[in-house]
Amino acid sequence: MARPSALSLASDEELIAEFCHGDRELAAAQFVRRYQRFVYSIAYRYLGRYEDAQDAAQEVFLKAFEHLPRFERRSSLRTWLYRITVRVALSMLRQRKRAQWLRWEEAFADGEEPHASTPTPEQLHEREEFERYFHRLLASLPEKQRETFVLRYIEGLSYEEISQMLGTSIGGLKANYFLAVRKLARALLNGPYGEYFRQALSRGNDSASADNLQP
Amino acid sequence: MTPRQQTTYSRRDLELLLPDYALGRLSAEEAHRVAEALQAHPDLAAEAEMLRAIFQRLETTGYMRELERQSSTLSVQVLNRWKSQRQQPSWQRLAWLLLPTLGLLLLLLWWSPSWVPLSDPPTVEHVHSVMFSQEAGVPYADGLVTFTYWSSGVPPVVPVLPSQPISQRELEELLNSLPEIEVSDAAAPYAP
Repeated sequence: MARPSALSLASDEELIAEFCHGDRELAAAQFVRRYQRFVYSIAYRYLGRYEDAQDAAQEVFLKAFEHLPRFERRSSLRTWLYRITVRVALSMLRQRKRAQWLRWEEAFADGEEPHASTPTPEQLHEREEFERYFHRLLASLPEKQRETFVLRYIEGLSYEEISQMLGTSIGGLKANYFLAVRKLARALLNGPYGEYFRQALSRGNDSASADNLQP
Repeated sequence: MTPRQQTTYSRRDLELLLPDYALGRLSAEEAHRVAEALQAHPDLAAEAEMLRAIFQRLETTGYMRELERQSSTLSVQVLNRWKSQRQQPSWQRLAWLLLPTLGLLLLLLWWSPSWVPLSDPPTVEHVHSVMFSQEAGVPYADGLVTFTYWSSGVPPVVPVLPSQPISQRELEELLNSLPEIEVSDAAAPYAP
C-alpha cells in the first residue's frame, strides 16, 4: 500500500485514522502544523505572554496525542482542541494565581513583551509596537466580544464552529462580532495610529504600506 | 425563514451582517442582497465602507506577525517532547504500573490476619499445674484433675476415674507423676 504523504492527509478524519492505525509521527507532525497557530493564538489570548502560550500549546498537543485515539467526533477537531487549550490555559492561570481574565490586559502592559532581546530594523520595530498596541486594544474588549472576534476574524471560523466552542447562539455571536468590529475600527481611527487609518478612508488602500505606520 | 432566503433585511439584521459583508465573508449572492438593502440605510452603508477600509489597512500592518513567528517553531518542539516521552524504556513505563500494584498487594497482605505468622497448635503440651479435688464423702475415689496449659490459659477439666479407691500413698504417687504427664492431641477437644 502506498505510504501517505503529509499532503495526502487532507481531512481531519484521515489524519485521525493515520494517527491511530498508520504512521503516527507523520500524522502527529501534520496535526501540529495544521493547528499550531490556532492553539497558540488561543493560548496567547488567555495568557498574554508568548512564553506561557508556548508552554501551554505544547501541553495541549501532548494531551491531544494522548487522547486522540479516543476522540469521539462529537465535535470538530478544532473545537475539541479549543476546549483543551482553554482548560490548559485556565489551569496555568490558576497556577499563576491569575484567574481573572481581565488580568490579561496587564500582560500587555508596555515593556512586558520580550522584544528587546531581538534587534530589529526600525520599521519592523514599529510594526511590533503596533502589534502590541493592537493586542492591547483586543484586550480592552469585553470577553465575549474578544473571543468572538479572535475566532471569527483572526482564525476565520464559521459561526457554527464558534457557537459549539463558546456555547453561544449564532445570533448572539453575530451581535458580539458586530460590536467588536465597530469598537476596534473606531479605536483604530481615534487612537495613536489614527492618522495611518484615516489615510485609508481618504486615499483608499490601493497603495497602503506599513512603512508609515507611526503613532 | 433564514437570512439566506430573505430578500429584505431589517436594520438589525443588516447590523449583524455588516462585519461579514464589509470584510468579504458573505457569499456573492448574499452580499448582493445586503448591498441592495443597505441603499435604504446610508449610515450603515457608510459604516460598512469605513470597516472595509480600516480592516484592509489593518491587514497591511502584519499585526499577527510576531504571534505567527512564535508559533512557527511549535511543531518541532512538540514533536521532540512527544518522541522523548514515547522513547522512555518500556520497563520504566511498566514500573509505573507495577509499583503501585505491588504496594497495594503488600498493604493488603499486611492487613490480612493470615499474614500474622501463626504457629501450629501444639501436638504436645506440658502440664503447667495440676489440682486434685476430692468429691465430698468419697475419699481417694473419684476426683477431678484440672490441667492448666501454658498456651490456652483456660484449664480444661479432665475427670480421673480410678476403678478402685486409691490410698493416700497412691494419691501422692499420682500427684507426683502428674507433672510428668504430657497431654497429647487427645486433649484437644478441651482446648478453647
